[in-house]
Amino acid sequence: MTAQNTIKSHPFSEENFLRAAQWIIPILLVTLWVISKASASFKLQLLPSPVSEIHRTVDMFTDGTLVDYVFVSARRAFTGLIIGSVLGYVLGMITGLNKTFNAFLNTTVQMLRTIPMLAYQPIMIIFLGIGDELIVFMVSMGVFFSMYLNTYAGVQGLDKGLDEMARVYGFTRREYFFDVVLPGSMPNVLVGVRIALGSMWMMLIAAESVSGNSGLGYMAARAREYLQMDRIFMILFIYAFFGKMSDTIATSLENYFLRWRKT
Amino acid sequence: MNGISIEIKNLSKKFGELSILEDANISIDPGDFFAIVGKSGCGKSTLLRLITYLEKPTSGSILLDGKPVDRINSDVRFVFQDARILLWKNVLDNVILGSPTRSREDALWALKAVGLEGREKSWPIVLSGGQRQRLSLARAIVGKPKVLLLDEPLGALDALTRIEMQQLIEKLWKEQRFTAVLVTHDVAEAVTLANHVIVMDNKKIHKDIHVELARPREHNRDFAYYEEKILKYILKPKDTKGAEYVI
Repeated sequence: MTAQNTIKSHPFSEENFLRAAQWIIPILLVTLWVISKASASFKLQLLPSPVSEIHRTVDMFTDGTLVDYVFVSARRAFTGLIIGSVLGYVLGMITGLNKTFNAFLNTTVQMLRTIPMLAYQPIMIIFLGIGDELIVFMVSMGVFFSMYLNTYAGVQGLDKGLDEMARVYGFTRREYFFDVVLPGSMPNVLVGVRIALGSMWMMLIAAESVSGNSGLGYMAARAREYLQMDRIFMILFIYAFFGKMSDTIATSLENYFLRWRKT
Repeated sequence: MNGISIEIKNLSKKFGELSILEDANISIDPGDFFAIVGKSGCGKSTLLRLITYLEKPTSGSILLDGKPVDRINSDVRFVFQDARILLWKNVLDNVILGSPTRSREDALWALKAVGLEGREKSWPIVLSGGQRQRLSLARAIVGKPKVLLLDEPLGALDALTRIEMQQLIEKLWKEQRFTAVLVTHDVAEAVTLANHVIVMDNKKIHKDIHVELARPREHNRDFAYYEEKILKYILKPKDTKGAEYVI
């Protein structure tokens, strides 16, 4: 324990200031919204007022549709995330470590990843139909590539000197994997997780807006059709909230798994 | 005496067509301290890597305690220039992984021997360059090796830390009496530590100089004499005709 850690943080310390500072721009944006609506220029007619926004949110919350949609979307997102990230991680590890698998798989994956994800959609509609499976599949694909590529890069980028060290010091295969490869590739893997969380939401919304009959993406697509600006705004807030949540999850994973990097 | 003898006979190493080491012959007594000096690319690191079996010889042989080297052996430990520590393992766990039996007690002993007691739980990232090399040394000696190979272990350290580390290496060598082979481009370091200094040039062993100075060695006139003599061989090897390697 260093001396620094034992000093109590002052209420106006730099740390507290920085913690508060992250919210300054979001608060300014909301303030700008309130002010511009209050000044009520003609062009801003379509912009929902903060009050109607709150009403709409409360209505949808109390009649249960909002909660339903959020849950439906979250379930699809996490199912896709788990399938895609587990597959991406495991295959990335295998191709990173094994030359034969690398020869077999890597070229194919590298080719497939350059195809825009949405280009798969028409083909997948034929095989999977329009529904949950398609959405989960699309999310998994989006997550898979970022996890695969970053895990692969992490294993390939391991310091070759550590390899030699492990040989000289007689590491077993198990020790080599768990003490060198796994933690050594973790910084890259976590970059993959961060990108995966981002592509998870993107794929979810894109897939839901085309092929869902529930969920946030579906709600957004319908609101766009009917020009329900208050709904569109609400959805933007929900996205922003989930975005922040994803970031918090990624950051706490980094804080835990990469704690050795902190000085 | 913990150390064992190293016998190198007609050793050559080629990578493809490229020759790295040619016809090396060295005989090191158990517990002796050898230093190998020479310009970059003269093959001195390759020699160490051959002794550990990180590389296989193209021809010739290496005998450790009379037995040919045919695998990586836990009696031979290697200290790299870049400490090659696992940054995600704390100090103690790094040393435990150096122990052939993964012994925690031995690791604590080794950390004490290199002056890192109290730092067991630290992450390596907070250690200074010198402390990292101490950690690397602790990991190397934890299994009480019979041979310690040091590949420019102090090359990246500042001058003052280097002096401290030289004293530490000498202390460990005296206590444990392993056979030590140090590769360095610092002639003063070689004279400070080694009983024999081998000068390598252009893939060949060029000269073996026996340093007959009392320990701990001081930088006096005798020291300067050896330093100058070795430097002369390194810088102008072609002027010293017939300098065959003889022990």
